[in-house]
Amino acid sequence: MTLSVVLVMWLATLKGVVFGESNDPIPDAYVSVLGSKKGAFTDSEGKFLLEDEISSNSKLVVEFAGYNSDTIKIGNQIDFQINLKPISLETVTIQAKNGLTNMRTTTLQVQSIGAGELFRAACCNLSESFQTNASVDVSYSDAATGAKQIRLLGLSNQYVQMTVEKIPVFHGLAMPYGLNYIPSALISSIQISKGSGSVVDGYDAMSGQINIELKKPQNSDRLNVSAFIDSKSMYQADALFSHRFSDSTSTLLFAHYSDNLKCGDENGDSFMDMPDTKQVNIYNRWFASRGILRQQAGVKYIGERRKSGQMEDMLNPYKVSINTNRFEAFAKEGFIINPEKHRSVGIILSASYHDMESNYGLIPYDANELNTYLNAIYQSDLNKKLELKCGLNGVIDNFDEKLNLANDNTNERSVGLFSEFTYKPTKRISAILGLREDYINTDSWFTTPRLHLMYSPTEEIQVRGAISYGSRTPHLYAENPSLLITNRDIIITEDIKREKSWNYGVSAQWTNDDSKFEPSISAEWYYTDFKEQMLIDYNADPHMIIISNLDGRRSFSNTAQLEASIKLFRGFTLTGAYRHTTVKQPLDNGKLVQKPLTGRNKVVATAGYETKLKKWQFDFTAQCNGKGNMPKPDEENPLWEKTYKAFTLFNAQVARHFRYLDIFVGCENIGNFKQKNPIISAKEPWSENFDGTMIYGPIEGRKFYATVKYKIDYK
Amino acid sequence: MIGVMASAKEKEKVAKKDTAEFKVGMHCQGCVNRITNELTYTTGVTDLKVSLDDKTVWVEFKPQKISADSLFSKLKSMGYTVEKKQ
Repeated sequence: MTLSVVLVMWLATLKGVVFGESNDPIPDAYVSVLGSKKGAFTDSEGKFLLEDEISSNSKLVVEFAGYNSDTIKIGNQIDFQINLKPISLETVTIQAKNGLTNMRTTTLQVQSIGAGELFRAACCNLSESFQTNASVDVSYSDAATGAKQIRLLGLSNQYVQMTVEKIPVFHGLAMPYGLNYIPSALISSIQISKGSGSVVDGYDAMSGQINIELKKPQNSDRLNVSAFIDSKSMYQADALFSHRFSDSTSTLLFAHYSDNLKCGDENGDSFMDMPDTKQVNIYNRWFASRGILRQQAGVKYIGERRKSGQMEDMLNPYKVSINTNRFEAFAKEGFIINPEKHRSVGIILSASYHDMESNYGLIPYDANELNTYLNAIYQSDLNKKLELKCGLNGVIDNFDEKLNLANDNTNERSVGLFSEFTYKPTKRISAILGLREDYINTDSWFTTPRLHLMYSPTEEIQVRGAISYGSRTPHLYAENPSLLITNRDIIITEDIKREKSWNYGVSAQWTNDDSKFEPSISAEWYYTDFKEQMLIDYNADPHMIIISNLDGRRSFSNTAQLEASIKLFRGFTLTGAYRHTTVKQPLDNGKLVQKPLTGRNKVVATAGYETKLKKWQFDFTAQCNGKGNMPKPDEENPLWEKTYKAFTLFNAQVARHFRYLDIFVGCENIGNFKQKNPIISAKEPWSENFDGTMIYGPIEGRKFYATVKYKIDYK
Repeated sequence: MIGVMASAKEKEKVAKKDTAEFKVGMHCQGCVNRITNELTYTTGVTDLKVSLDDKTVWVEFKPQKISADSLFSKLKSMGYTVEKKQ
């Protein structure tokens, strides 16, 4: 027998007055019954009259700019006197500039990239989402596989915790290609957090965290299909469909296919410039809310076939093939226990299985990885100034690798407890102190402390500081398959230990919303000091790669960045950024040197113009990458230069938006800059000098592209 | 001479734009996006500002192509509480 409760509704006439500070009446405040589309505005005396259907559970919502909105249970009341309170610093409206936002209310330094910013440049997948961003570098890991790596604070992607909606992803086997596994049509926004982030998310963010928010069924387009093609013959098609069964239940289905019409060798080195990659990506997620319960669940499949190497007409060609099948599933349960005290419990579960079969020349490399993750979080306000988050975390990571050079068959289990206090004694000061204690079966117990501070002397200025600790388990070949695109001898001198580092950072930002120019300036400095690190030394011997532990020696990254933005006139925004990075490791027989293939200086400038109704958008980006060192060549027979020169890349795009259609046309690398000879001894891939790992710049030259999107909103 | 004057007046009429401002009961960014998408592509609308904080929609339009009353009706037909701002 099922018992159901039917709420009795009746038509009521509600009236009242809305006051602000000092009991002054507020005209033009908006009053509505929660969940109803009807509403009324207050008159010049702050009075309102609203006729609507209500029940015994109905609530009245009162809103006005500059004041915290109020929600009142109606009950039997029909006449109201409501006092609104002025808005506090915590709820200051975040200003969005072309979709790029430096968050002003968060204690951690977070930069959010919204949809508007994502589509200012060619954006097929996550790897191409940072082209207008000065903080994140994306480059190819090698000249053959198409694997891309991110650099944040000068440190490569193994030190960046990548999460999708706060679920860690792209570790281990998925790391080299993970940036290609999220099509841009599925991305809603990206948050970049520098320094080690919150203990709630784990212990392994050492330079920062990049969180990707995907499109959600409860607020997505009804239908969104897009097609992309470029002059290098790569094409891609995406389709997204969402359906809302009710206000509380919805689903989203997404499919992606990408391929190459042909693969060429424009630089004449006998190797394909870009791999022939076919990818299928299917994703389904659900959302449901019932009373205090919020539920989400989803499944994903990625199938990818990647082929590269020498062109077919070569005798005994060097070939690379990587076949991947990846399955992911997640579930999130949220229980809102007391919304007024922000008291809730959240449980995140995820699982992934990654199976890879690959060949690098004559070296077969097969591996699979099963990862399961649990994070249970309780959060609550303890009082008006103090908030607590605490919880439990567990990870199982089973690694099975078959490689004739060395096998990594780690079965790692970790369990951890964490707690984090957020203290806000005044409107302008906040502090987050987090601590977690974890046990890993391959190591022991370890503690991860993190402290973040923010001081906002005025609404326009925020100053932040952070000290944090991070650690991770490295997987040599899974995370660096580019090591297999070389005939150097790989010497592993000892068992590799877990990596550990301290990260220190300070930042300041100033934004003036009141000026019509909307200027903003930010400055930051971060220092990452490694206590233990897996060193991959290309410098000690041009015919070897030596793998060792840091073992008490010094290794660090020191980054300073200055960024400014201004709206010269309506629709036209200029942004400029300069970044200086020093990354030093004890390479070259223990000598502390700048890490090869890491330039010290970078300048990014963007100009964007959009017409009044944003029907036309024009974007231009210039990236100047400073000179750097190559790994040391052989002194007697140098096959490459010791250094590389600075180079500049230019991108431009024009977009036209219609009611249901968007068209983007652009050009990447307008100047057609290409790294010369990206592969050493390319025509003798079986010789001892063959090396495809020394990449500092683009391999492809100029590329024209076009994207068409068709969308239907949810009415 | 009269023909030239009439042509100049017609040009002035064509070039003239009106503005209207409405108070609209918007709840969230989704409402802002909906209203923006709808009015941006409405024939005759030449400029638009939608503010969730102030709950106002300001529209610049060509009066020979659309009227303030039509814009008001359009917003109401989308299901929002709308009042003309004085």
